[in-house]
Amino acid sequence: MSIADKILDQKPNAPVRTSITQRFFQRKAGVTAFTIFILVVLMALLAPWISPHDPNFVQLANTKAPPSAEHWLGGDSAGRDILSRIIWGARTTLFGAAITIITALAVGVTTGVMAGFFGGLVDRVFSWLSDATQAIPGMIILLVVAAGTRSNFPILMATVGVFMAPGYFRITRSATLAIVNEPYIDAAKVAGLTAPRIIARHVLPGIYAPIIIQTALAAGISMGIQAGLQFLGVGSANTPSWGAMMNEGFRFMLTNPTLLLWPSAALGITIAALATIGSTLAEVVRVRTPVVSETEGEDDKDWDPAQGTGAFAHDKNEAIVRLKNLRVFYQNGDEQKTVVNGISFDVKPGEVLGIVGESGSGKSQTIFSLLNLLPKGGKYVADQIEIAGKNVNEMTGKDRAKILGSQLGYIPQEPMSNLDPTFTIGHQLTEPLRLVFGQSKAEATAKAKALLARVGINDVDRVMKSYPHQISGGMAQRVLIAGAIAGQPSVLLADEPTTALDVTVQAEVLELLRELQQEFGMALILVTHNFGVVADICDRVVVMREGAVVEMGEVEQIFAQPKAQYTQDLIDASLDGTLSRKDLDASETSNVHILKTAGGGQK
Amino acid sequence: MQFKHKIIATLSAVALSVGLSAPALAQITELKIGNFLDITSWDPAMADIGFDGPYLSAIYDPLLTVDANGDVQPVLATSWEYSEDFLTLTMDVRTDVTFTDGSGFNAEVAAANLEHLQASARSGEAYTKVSDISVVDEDTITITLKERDDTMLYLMGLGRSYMASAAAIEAGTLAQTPVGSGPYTLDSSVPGSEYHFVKKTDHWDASTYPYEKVSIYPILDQTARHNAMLSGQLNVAFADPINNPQAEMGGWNVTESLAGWVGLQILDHDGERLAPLGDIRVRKALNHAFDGAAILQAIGQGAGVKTNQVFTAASGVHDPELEGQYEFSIEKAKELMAEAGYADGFELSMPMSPIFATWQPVVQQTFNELGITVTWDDMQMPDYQINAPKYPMFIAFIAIDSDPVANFARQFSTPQWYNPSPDYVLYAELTDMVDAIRDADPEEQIRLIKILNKRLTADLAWWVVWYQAANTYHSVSEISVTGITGMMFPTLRFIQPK
Amino acid sequence: MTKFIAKRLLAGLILLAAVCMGTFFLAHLAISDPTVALLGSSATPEQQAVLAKELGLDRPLLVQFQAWLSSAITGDLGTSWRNQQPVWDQIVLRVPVTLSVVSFAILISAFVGVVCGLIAGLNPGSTFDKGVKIATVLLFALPGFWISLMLVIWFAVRLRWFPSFGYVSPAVSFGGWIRSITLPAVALALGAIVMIAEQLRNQVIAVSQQDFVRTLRSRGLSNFRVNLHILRNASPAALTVIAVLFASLLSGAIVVEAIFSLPGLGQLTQSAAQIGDIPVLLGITMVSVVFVVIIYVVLDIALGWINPKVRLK
Repeated sequence: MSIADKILDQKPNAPVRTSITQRFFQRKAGVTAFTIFILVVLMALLAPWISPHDPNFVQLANTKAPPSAEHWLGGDSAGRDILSRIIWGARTTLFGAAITIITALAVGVTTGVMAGFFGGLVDRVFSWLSDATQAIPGMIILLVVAAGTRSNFPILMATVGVFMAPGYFRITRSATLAIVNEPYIDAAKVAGLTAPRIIARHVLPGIYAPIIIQTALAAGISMGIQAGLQFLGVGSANTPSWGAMMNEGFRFMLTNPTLLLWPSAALGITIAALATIGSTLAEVVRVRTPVVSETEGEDDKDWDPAQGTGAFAHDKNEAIVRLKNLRVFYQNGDEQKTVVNGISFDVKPGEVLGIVGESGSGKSQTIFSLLNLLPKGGKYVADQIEIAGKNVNEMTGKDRAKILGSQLGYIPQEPMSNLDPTFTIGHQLTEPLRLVFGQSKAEATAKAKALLARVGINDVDRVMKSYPHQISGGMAQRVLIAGAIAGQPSVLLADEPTTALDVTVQAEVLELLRELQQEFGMALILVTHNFGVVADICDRVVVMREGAVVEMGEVEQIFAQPKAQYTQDLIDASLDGTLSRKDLDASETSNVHILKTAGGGQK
Repeated sequence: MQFKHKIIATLSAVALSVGLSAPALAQITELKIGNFLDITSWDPAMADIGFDGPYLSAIYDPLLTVDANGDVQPVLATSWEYSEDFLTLTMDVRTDVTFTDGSGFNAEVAAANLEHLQASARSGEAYTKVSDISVVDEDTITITLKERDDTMLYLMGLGRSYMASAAAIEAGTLAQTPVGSGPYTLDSSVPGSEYHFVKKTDHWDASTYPYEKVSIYPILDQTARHNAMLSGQLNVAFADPINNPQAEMGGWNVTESLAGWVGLQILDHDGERLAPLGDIRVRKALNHAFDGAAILQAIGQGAGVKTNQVFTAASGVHDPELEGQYEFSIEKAKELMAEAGYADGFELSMPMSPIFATWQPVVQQTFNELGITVTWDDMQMPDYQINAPKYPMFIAFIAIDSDPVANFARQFSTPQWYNPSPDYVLYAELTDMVDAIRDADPEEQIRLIKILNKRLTADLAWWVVWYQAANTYHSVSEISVTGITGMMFPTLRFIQPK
Repeated sequence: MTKFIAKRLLAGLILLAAVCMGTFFLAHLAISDPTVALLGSSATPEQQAVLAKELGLDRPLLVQFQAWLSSAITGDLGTSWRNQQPVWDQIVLRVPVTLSVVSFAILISAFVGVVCGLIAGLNPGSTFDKGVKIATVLLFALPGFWISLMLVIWFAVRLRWFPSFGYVSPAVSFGGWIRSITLPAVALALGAIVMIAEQLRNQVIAVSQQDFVRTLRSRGLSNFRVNLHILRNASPAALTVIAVLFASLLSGAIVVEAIFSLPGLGQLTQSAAQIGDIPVLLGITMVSVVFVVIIYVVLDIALGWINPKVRLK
């Protein structure tokens, strides 16, 4: 999960099902598409009652007739009422799509659940079959089946369903796998629940959303294929269907375009509705794109400076970073959520400032604001931000980006997810050196090697050639530190740099940071939840909670005499060495394995 | 409605561009033909007459051809004569013609070809009565018949007498590599899609074939053919009469020639498979029940002639006096049905394939009104040809011939896919008439066929004919096409500069 | 890497064998008596029996399959039942057509799809993104043959920029070749573009939210460079879609070839299916699957190159 998700998903216990449905119907596109689809279904179901004429009733005088009071859409090439045929055509089209979907569901979901649940040979066989089905150009088989079964409509549509089964298989299999790996399934197995019961109780409810999405899309595709088959002359001409009507429309396309228009519109609108339902649902479920409001969120105007917390500790000339009344908020639809509510602090060169707080206190958001790298949907306002004597508030985006790397170095929390998995370490270290600092390839490589050696990596050459997945977490964090100091920044921003690391490595990394900071005379802003870390290396500390500064001061002073109970609690928690629940939350994105070792080690 | 306007705007633009660009071409040197079907086989013995004409006539010269009236004309055969008993045909052939493999044409080669053609199930239809083919001298052959055959010369002229190299026949390689003496040679081809021919410089009849190049494209989809005409990729095409107004707007020539009758083919006149069909009153009721003129206008786009007979309209046999026989009247039809004891109708199954789907609604509708319940069995076209005759009655589009005797034979007395075992033999009266026609001399034959036509149409309601449909060909203004009834697509000699 | 490719090829071979077997038995099941379709209804049962013997249809199905397989392995796909032409010759004649159209379609759709998907994914919620989404729904909703015919009407008939039917070999005229395959390829590509664009868009959004993207930015890298990183990480999804699309485009080619009267595999399939010419159908299936397998192997290699982690699997 990304940071944006974490922030947007503050209510982890909210019932997912209702929220998906709600979110779906909150979207205009979703509501419109769903309404249209329901209307089409109703049209199909009620055809015998709402159709103004018998769809097969021939009135030769009505051949290719223009719309009239009696025939609202006119007559087709055989003098039949077009409107009635459109209405009845909905039946054929939906019936065909239903056969396809039911077949695809029956084949795909069953095999998918089995493959995911039982794994092993079952999984391999079914996965292979699924791949094989996808490799076959289905139209060839469809034409063979059409020739062999005299274009039997249900059989043809069922065949289409077989070719759509792999889509369901993949979704179901991966969803099932994800669920099966949950501890409670093991518990259920141990408790003696039978496989079918576990599947029915725990697996199926978990996969319904992706299946509905897939079904909406598959139904649309199946209707398209149905029409395509009818275009190739496959299928019954006796029952009214949109595909056959379109085929006829093409014959008269140049002389009577409406014959083509109506069935095309009916088919197009229906498939479009399904596609919209599918993509809206997918958007709601899968890709949680923050909906960024078009207007700039200036809802901050009535912010009262009296709400501000924190203060400056140094003279204006002394400080390298000065931050005054920083507010950070996230816009999600019409909702605006403030995560940092007007904090102020400063730091001077050579000083180590700790920002301490629980998860959600806004400490990371503060760092991102300084970097101007808030996740999409996030926005900050500050009365003043000065970095290295420059008022960055007045800078253009481009100039602002220029201070990254050269003035501000950033060390992230989770080493593995902060390296691009597709490039070698060497490339990732030399790229900024070459492109940002204009070094030649040879210079950059030499510099990168020197940096790696400096951060304590022994076999530099091997690491340079390695991909991120080939090195350990501790090593990755050293690589990231090397990257952060490559541009010799004046301020180093470290966001929980040791949380994700093995406990033995933690101390080494902290030591390294301290060394580097002293060696280069940098200011270091270190975000952490752990007062132990603060005690190790910080000069001053800012304690944050719910977007506000609770207290700040010299480390010794805070340890000796914390003013707030909250500070005391944090200190106690660190001294205990146990990770609080909230700490666990804070680290939930980190690699489970590493986290477990870290937690265990600390005990 | 904006859509409609756009289409209409497109239409006028299309019409305009066609009208403007067409005269710009001074002389057309390449014939680009949009045919309907691919060639069946390059071996004339395995080919079809229907749409194979343009392909075969490029590569091969026939012994005989037919003209627009259906009369037989000389090609490689220069003259022919029947003996008095009509059992021996003496034919003179050219000897100044060479095949592309260098061998020459003569009586011996002609005989070898005829034997090859006779042996095949397909082309053999023209030579069913032949007992012997012999070479008299370098340029003369005789064909001896078991019994008199008045359709042989006509069928030979339609496309059953293409002459190929004797060596190639011997080798059995004609289907792969055609070797003929025709006006063109196959330059390149993509089987099933396109065939490009170039003119021979030294063809003996070069003046009949004015075009330097001929390309033939089999295009099943009529919209695609029409679009190809509109885009200028074709200059002659098998066309859909729907597009006639556009063709005329674009200054194209529209040629129509009667091709076949449309209606219900009945194969069970004694009611063995479906009792009601054995009752003449039911068959008459069916004749009354369909509004042929309206079907022709509405579904046939008016391309054809309203008639109730299977004999080519305006031919010697077609009888205008019979036209009033079955005026359209559902009431009359119901009366007849009631008289026959089928006031509540009956049930039957009929085959259906996409090609016939255009007439399906009107049949369904009419049958409904008569209380007849029809179950449709859907199938593809090749399947339809095989299975339709297994049904007592089916919707048919059956090709007609310009030659009255051939027309009579193919509609009535000889086995065809649409009539595999002619059931007239069940009726002594009809059998006698067929025998009489076979034995009569040519003029008497016409008179007798006319009588038979009247008997079959007016008294026995042998068929349910709605109309005779015309094949339509579009050609650009500089090219004229002469349609030949009996050929679905005319051979190259009928495509000439205007 | 060699081992990786060899393994993939072996899997492809097994797939090929299985698909051929499946098609063989399905075709024989579906098309009960091909001799009827081949000889026409006037043929006698004796003639049918003779033909059946000639074609080897009187043998047990398994024996027939074995015979087919053993000659297919040597590259002999038999002869067409309809016109006695070697199947291989017919396919060789038509493969360039279908492959031209499908490859050109892939090229167009990959290029346009990647550009659209990338822009939309980097600017989610923007006007461009919404436009792509609407185009996706529209192109998804309109069947391929509808789009094809509209293309013909506008670009071939009205504007006369392209031919309305037919295929020109690149050996004859390169320009003519491009012109002849453009409309069919575009018709095929339109549907594919939106699928690639949508996949890539979603993947780009997902990758953009990954931590390393922020870290890359924090190093001072330009937007352009960061986007290259995003693209490389998002491309496996798009590449997979492209590979999967290849098989479905081969299917789609059947319809498009009918509309543009292209002498490709699709047209051959249609005519062979109609008369039950099983050797031709089997040949086409085999060749198609070979192409699909090749594409999948290329995909696997590409994925391995893009993201070395995949190679471990």
